[in-house]
Amino acid sequence: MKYISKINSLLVLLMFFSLSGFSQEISKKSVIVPLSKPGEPGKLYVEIHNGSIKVSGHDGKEVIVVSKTNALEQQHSSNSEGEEKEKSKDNPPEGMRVVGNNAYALDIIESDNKVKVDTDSHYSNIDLEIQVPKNFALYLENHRNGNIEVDNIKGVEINAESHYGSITLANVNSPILADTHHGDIIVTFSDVNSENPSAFSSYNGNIDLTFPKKGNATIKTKSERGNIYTDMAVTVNDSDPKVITKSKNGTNYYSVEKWNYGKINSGGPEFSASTSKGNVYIRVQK
Amino acid sequence: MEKKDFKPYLIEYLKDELDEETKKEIQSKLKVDLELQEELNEMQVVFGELNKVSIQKPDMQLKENFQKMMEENTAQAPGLFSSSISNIQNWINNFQVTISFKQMAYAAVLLLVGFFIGYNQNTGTIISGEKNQELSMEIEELRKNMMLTLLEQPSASERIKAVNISYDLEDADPKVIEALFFTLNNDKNSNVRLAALEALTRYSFNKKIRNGLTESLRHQNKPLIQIALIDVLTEMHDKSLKKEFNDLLQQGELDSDVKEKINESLEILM
Repeated sequence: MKYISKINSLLVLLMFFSLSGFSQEISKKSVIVPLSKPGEPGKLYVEIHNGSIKVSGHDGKEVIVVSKTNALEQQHSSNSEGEEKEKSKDNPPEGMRVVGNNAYALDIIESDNKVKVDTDSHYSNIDLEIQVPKNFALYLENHRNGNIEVDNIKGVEINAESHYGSITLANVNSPILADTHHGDIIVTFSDVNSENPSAFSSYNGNIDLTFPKKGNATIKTKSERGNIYTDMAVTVNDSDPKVITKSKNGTNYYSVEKWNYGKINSGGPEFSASTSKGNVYIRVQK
Repeated sequence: MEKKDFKPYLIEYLKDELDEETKKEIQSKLKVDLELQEELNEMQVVFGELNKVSIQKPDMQLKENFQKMMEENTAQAPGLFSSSISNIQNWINNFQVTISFKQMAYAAVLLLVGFFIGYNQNTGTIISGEKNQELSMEIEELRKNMMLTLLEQPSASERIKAVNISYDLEDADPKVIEALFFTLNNDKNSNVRLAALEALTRYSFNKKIRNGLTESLRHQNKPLIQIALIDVLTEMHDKSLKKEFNDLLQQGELDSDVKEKINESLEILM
């Protein structure tokens, strides 16, 4: 296995040289990562500081990573001081062109079908577009700017964490765990058959979940300052909220749960959605 | 045409089973019709041969065997002969054949679980209190161990499941509390940490747990969790929190939403 991954990293290195091309404003790097066990389920770990992550499932047996940066532009727009200076840098001197800034690293490690993508995106904005086989589990995280987008993944689990960005997952299976501070979380499930729970949390954003028509799920929702909207197909549990009673040294404690409960079809694994300032939308595909 | 009409009667004629009228008719016809005569002769030959074959009579042994078999079968088989009891027995036998071992095991586990649930609900009514307590303690122990094992799973969803199991535990077991705190402070996934926080909130009347939650606030760096913790702590109306919150406000890199939340909480605590 070590041997294989060595070959892989060599390949990766080779591709770096051959494929890292220049374009006018963006610098693009593209890497094709062959897997140790083609066809078998795998995992993708991505953690970046600035930039978006876009992952889509494809029918191939390798992982394709494309990174783009418009470093100069980003750096200056985030820099509030010196507008003039910015202009002078953005407009190339006569007879010259911008070839982009290629000064960022994109590290990819593959071992035992686990693929880890790393960038040193502290200063520049790096957008990643990654294609993986559909049976990949995803662990995606971006700390500052940028959205997370996932499409057509049937792997065992998707974990997505963002801070400013929104998280949009389409054609995915449960379980999913997603959280962001400022962005929305929008998920369209194609299958919710897993018995494991899913959880979605945001502070300022909306949570919008769409379930397949035939799926069974128990919905647990909470919005402190927003509203909760559900389709007609969702049975809302109107019974009194759960009261938790505890007694200690002769004193009784009662606390009433803040969660709203509902069911889709016969109920099933728990899907909890919690936001403070946004709304929660629970939909069922028509 | 007429000849054909008589043909079907020839066998009966040979056996001498016809009424007088048709018999006479055939006899008169036979004298004229040679073809019919020939046919009759052929038939006579066949009948003659058939009569030569001796009919074997079944011996007594066979009859006895048959009777025996019949009795044996009626004892087992359903239907007209069997009683309703053997009917059910047979149904069960058939049933056992169709279900697989896995299904049986599954059913057995379900039965056991059902038994324990029923058992828990009927505390003290089935067996004497002491033994009952012993059993429910064992179940509690089982649940606890399951939770602790699940908390170590690499899948975040499995770990949320583990946190949810803690809701089924009766007592605030130190090991469980410790595990929940460890999860709250160290789990990689924010949703798992939030779930652990919520599970711990149930015990917030306990001073030790309150202190643990206050301590945790210093470790958290994710605004989403900081805010959730501040919410929980504020609900306890502990005046000592004011100092804690003010300390947090002094931190340089505090998210604006967290600042806002702390200021709201400080107003509540006033």
